[in-house]
Amino acid sequence: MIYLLILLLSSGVYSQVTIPDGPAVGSIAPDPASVELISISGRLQEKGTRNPLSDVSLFILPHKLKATSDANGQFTFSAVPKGDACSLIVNLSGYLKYQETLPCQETRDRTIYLEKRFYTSFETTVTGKVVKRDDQAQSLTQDEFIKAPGSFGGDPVRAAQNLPGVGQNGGSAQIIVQGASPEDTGYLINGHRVPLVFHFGGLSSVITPEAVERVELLPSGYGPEYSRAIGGIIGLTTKEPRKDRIHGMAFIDLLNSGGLLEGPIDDKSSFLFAARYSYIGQVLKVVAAQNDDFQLSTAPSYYDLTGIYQRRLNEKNNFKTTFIASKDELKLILNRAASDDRELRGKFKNSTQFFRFIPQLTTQIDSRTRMDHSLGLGRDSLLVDIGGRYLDVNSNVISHRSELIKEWKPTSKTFLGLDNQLNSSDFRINLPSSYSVGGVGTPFSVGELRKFEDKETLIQLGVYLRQELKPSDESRWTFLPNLRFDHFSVNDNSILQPRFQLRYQLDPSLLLRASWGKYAQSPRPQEISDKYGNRDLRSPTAIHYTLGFSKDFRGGSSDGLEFTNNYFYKELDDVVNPDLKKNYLNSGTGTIIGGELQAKLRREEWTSQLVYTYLKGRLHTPGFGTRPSEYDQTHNLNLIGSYNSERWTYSARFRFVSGNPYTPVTGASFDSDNDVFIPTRGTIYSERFDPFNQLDIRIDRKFVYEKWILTAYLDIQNLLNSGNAQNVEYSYDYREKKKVRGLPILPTVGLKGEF
Amino acid sequence: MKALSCLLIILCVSCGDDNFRKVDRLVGFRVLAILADAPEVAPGGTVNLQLFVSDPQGAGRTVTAATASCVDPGVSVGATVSCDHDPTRVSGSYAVDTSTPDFVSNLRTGLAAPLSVTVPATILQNRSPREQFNGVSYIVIFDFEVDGERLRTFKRIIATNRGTLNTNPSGSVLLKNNLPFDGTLRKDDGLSVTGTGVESNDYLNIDGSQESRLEQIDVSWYVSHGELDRPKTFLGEETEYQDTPPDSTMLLVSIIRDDRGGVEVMREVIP
Repeated sequence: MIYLLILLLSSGVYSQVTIPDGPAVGSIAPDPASVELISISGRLQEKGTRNPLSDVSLFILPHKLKATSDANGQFTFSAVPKGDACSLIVNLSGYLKYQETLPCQETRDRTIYLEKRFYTSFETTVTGKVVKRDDQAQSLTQDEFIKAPGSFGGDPVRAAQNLPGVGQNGGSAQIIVQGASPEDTGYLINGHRVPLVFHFGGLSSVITPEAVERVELLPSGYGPEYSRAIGGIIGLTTKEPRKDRIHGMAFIDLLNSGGLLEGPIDDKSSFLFAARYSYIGQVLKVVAAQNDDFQLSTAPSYYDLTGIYQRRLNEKNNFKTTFIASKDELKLILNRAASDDRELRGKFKNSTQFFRFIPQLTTQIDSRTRMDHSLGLGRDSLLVDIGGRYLDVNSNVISHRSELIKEWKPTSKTFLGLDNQLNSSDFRINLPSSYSVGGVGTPFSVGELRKFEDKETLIQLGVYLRQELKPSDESRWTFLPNLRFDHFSVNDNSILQPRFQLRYQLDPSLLLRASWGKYAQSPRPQEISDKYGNRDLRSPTAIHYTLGFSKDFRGGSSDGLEFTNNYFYKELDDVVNPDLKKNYLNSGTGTIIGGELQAKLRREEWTSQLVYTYLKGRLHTPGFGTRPSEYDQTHNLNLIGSYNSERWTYSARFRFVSGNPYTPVTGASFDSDNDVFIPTRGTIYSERFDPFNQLDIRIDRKFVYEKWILTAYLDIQNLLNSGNAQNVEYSYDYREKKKVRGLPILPTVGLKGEF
Repeated sequence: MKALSCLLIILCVSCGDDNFRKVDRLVGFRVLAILADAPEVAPGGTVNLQLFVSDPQGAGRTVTAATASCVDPGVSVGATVSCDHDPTRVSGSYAVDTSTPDFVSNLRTGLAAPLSVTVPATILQNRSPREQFNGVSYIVIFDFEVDGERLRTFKRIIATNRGTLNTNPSGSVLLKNNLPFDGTLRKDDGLSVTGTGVESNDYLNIDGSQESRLEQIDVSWYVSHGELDRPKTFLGEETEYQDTPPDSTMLLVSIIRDDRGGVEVMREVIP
């Protein structure tokens, strides 16, 4: 302001300056008879993003003229005295001051770019920004996961591993939720089940991060909308394409590259298309050429495609369709038999692919009634071929969801929904039988070879009712009595799953909550197979109990502390275990008990977070006793911090997790027919690996140009190169062993341009 | 680079780089194979078993084992290798003498004395037609205690009502650089086995369909000195000797297995 004052005084036109707060256009007009008047118009946009800036005051000096931008960023000075030079000044909070000397000539369509002071407000995990239906849900929006340390370039699912209750997966493509087996967690895109969320090795999820609006984790005690997962749910929601103009993004890093294009088609519809391709295999092919143990015949690669089309059909109906396709492929020749197992050599091929076409129709019937319909149409394909032993599964998938939401009155709301899925699968299998308990299994070549082709149609039907009831408008209590019914055709099981949630809003900053519910899932295909499994298996179930609270100490400010504390207890029943006579039996029971807390502190440019989970998972199997579950990670601590400094963002995550339990091998018998040793397992999961610790850092630097932004980033995983044993490797006769370390230090650099 | 290499290997096999004893190196007492004069028999049939043993550092000795024979508890589907489940099991003992002239002249590696085993005549009773056709295993377990370590090895004898029974592979020829082996070995020489007779057999799949299968022949390689690049090969596939042979004699062993219990052994003292 002082600068402005000096500027005005030095102009000599006005001896005293007051800039009025008044109306939009040319508030002080010179005498038109003596001076020719011209107009200057244009638009005001944010530099780099070209987002229109509305309701912003612009000044022209020395004439002391003021204009205000409209909703599209358009502004007009309609009566500017013509002259050699004048100054255009914009001073907006949160942006760098703009000042330009320009000739006072008739000017139209001038674009002024204001540069933001901070382009990224890095926050690793923020809950509550998204309208959540479930109090138990943890969400990350795109703005949050895109800059998360350890997320390997902003991957939403990897970023979700910073959330409370998510275990460390040792670099695998698995998600461990509150100690549950990864197979007990469901993966959804727009509410529809997909077979996997990660590409090879778990480095990257199957969808371009910039096409994802948010990722949501439902770890326990969630509502009746979802089931078929006694562990938890990971859900990705694709974004709605932007409609203001065409936007684009392209990126390249050491592992993959890709791009995204989105924008309006007409005034009612918009589109988004994104694609990624990984060339990590080309690098690995060079590595493999120096290794005699295997030859890469096809470098491992993956790609994924995402397409979104949205159309506002009319005032009541909105249509959105999402297309997702993903493929992973690897071919190699194993020169040396892996694990000295003669069957594990020769040509190896693994291919995993799926696509989903997900049309969604939302109908706002009236101000209190809404109807959502969606379909998931697609195909899943899996091929594993090891020297002529193969598993080849192709499934056509149709899933359907419909939901009616009716708000009867402010204190009563009903959700009635259907959640159905049909899988029609073709199997081609030529594999030996396998038996593994406690992670120690019989060698591949020892199993009895079973070859068959089969077709199977699996139908899963689900219907649910959710009620949200408050005793009165002013009541702090909300009761959510819920009910879900599932039928699984595979074992002809019908299961009623009552669930109940309770909220108490003690004050605006403190929410108390509790839940109880029953959850069920069908046995896995191999468990229920009449060739490999047991047709008589029941569906495993779990009862979840949760209790917790959230306290927001920020008092309306964006800075301050937020605190969340949850406790959970899960009772598992009818857990499926391998059996020597029946292949599989519902012989297991188990419990998982734990607590988690999350403290987030924000202060100006600093963001820090502490996430801690304690859990104890125990499974009981007749004949094997009670033992820790495979994913019993007692302590799980994440410390996350970030600092923004204008164009720089620095972030780091430190993770400490108790070592996974494992089963020791106490001896081995030589199978002289198959020339392989068969391990003898010790007490199941009686030993543990050393604790896991990992420090990840990430540095982002933005270069902001008028019409686009370039971001360069450095992401280093396991900066301290911690050993982090994840597995035990044995000599051919199991007399010698060593622990296999996890992912070593892994730096990635990348560039991303967006407009 | 190492990180990426490990990443790939984690995907498909495992990150090697160990200092474990090599599977193809003959050092201590070791059972390399068990030969049956008839890998498959009809119920009630008698089989003579011979252990192919290597003990290059044993200096000639007698090593004893406790034996047990019983119906297979289901090793192929995960059962522990043991006869404890079978009240009709047959227990006995067995001795390997590595001081015989044949052992002495072949760096203490050779066939031990035969053990005669009779498969119960009732072994196929109460078995499914598929099991009767494909065969039910009768296992013979040898428990050695040698040099302070327990060694357990076992052999399956397949009892079947299928008319045509498996026989051991035979007629194998050892090649060096695709020529008949000449008794010498140098670094980088390629070794392979050819000429093995490959049989076909009928097999009842789990879906009830009958399939004619060709045996898959595998060769296991062992040396008393040095290392081979591929300790296991397919028939006709080469393995490379990666060391310089010693000035003294060394032993090269190749064991040919079909995938139905048939075995043929070959050994060469070099030079």
